[in-house]
Amino acid sequence: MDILEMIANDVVEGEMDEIADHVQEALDGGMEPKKVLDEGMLKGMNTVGDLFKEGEMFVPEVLMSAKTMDEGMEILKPLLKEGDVTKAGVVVMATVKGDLHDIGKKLVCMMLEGAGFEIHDLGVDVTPEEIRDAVKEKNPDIVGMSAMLTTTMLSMQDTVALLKQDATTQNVKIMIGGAPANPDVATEMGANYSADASAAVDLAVSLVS
Amino acid sequence: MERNIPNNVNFSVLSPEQIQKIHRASVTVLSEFGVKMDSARMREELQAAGAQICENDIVKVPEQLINKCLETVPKGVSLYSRDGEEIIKIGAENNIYFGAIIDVVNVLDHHTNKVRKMYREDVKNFAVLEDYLDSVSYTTPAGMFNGVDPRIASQIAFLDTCRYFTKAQSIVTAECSGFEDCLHVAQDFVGGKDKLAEKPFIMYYAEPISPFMHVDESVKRIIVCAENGIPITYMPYSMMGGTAPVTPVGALIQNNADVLMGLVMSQVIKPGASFIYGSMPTVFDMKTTVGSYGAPEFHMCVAASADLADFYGVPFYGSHCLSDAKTIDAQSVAEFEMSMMSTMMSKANLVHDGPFLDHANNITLIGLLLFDEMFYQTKAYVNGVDTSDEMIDLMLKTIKDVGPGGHYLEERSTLKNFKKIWYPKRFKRLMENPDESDLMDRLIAEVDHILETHVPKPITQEQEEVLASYEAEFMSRYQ
Repeated sequence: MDILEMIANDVVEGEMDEIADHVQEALDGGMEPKKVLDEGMLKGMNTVGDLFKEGEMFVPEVLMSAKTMDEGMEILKPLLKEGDVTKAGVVVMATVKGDLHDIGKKLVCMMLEGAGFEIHDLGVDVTPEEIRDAVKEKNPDIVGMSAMLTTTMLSMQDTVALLKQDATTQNVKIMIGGAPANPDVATEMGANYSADASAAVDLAVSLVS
Repeated sequence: MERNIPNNVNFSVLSPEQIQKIHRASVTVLSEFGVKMDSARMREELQAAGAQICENDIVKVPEQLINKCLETVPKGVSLYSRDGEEIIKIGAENNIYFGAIIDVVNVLDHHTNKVRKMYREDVKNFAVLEDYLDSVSYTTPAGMFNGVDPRIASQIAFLDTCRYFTKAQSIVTAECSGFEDCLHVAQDFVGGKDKLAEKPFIMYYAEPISPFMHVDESVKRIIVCAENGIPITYMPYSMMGGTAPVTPVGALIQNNADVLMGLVMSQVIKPGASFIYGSMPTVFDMKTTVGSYGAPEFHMCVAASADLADFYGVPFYGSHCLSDAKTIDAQSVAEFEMSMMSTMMSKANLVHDGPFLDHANNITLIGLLLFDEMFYQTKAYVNGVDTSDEMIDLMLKTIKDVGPGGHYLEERSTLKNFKKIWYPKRFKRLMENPDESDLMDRLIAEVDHILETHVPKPITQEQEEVLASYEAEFMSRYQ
């Protein structure tokens, strides 16, 4: 196995204690940092994504792979040149006003992060105004909103309406999810729907491409 | 007094030693680690009762306070029909009663076996069919149907359930204010707050957000119920590996601690307030991220939680006929049966939720008939073996009379006892079965027949006026 295969394999297997040594070994051997990233770590993460979709990998393993990738990035980051790392996109995420359920949104954040998105998680019970202000400040590509209850879906509608009112926020892409959400509701409010965290990653990728 | 459904199979998931271990661990969690308590009023009440308030609204409850509250919590609960008849009586006999549900977001159309949105006319159909089935003792209007503003959907579902369902109700609302609306309706419906408290035909439901978040909204519900004499179920829904530790024992310790916290809150507000122990520790599917409704570990943990509730001597809120499948198919019926069997054998007292498909995203009228069939089927199972002296004597006499190579068809004991054996109403045991199953067609026809012919006992003119007046007020709110 060559060193790039070993690095990719570390990511797939979640070998947090191994990856730093292997990345260092590749760099010591004169390899370009960008090559280590693209053909080692990112190749590994792509395999992780495929295996998860096929049902061969499970959520805790995917999260461990993402953490392993972070370990490798610690070494690589100072050496990478501007433009070597392309961010997939910026996302502002929130569970909407009146709703305190966190786990679904947290999971989507973690999966999006693993796919290379920069995440700004505003937490739970977030008002339309707080979301609008965060959009103004962070200038994200996407706003993601989660709700668990039929009543709090109304907060999603209010937020979308507020974002549409302002010229600086009206063009941000909107994703929604949660137990009462469905494609029809999303379309009605001018948003996009995904059923789970994995589909949310696919949707986010399609919205920024 | 004999139990309403005799259970002679001696089923328990947890041994007394295991119950003690889980109880001790839950006490450690509450007294040493603490839980998050959002409600300022509840923090004050708990502090006055001996709890310790720490940084970030963490409350630690000493064992002494838990024990004191376990002494005052009622060991049973009675619920009444809409018309004031005691139809649910949980006490020393440890009776078991089954509930159903009136509405969720989607309905599985019983003619097509395909999912569509649920609307108000469906609410009536579910109420009528559930009113008809003797196996259903109470139901749950949840206010998730479409076509009405979600802020008043629970209230409207409750009004229609009062109209078309004569038994007890376990109300679910997204917000406590929705329940307070229903509470006022119920009080006016029976003639006042005291009358409703004396013979409640409604109970309510609240849940912490796992792990250990006792949010203001949930605490408010406990307070409103304690102050109005309405029984409340406090039921954490946690997912092993996601919102609960990944092992069954970890989830049981966590849920048990959260339920004990609810119990303490209710007793601190009003010693003697009716409290029902609920617990749904399920599997967080690490492939799909679904909180499973069909996982065997889920139903095992629900039955284990019933053992814990039995240890504390408080009524337990179980779960039946739940599935992850979306339609009536081989998977959903297999999962219904497993949950039904587990809950019927367990120490549950009020068994809710079924028949739920697609992890609580849709309900089905056909499923109600399947539940009814499984109710009598599993009831026959838990009846167990009669080994009374009289029965042993009768059997020895019969065996002796018949002798080797004989038959029992003409024996008196056969004639006397064969009808004690359960015969299915809808499932068939034909010697020669048809090549294609006609079960679904027969179930559809039965649903249609019941909906066409069953007329729930009507409410009085005065009661309809109460409901109509509230309905007009609710409908005017968000026009």
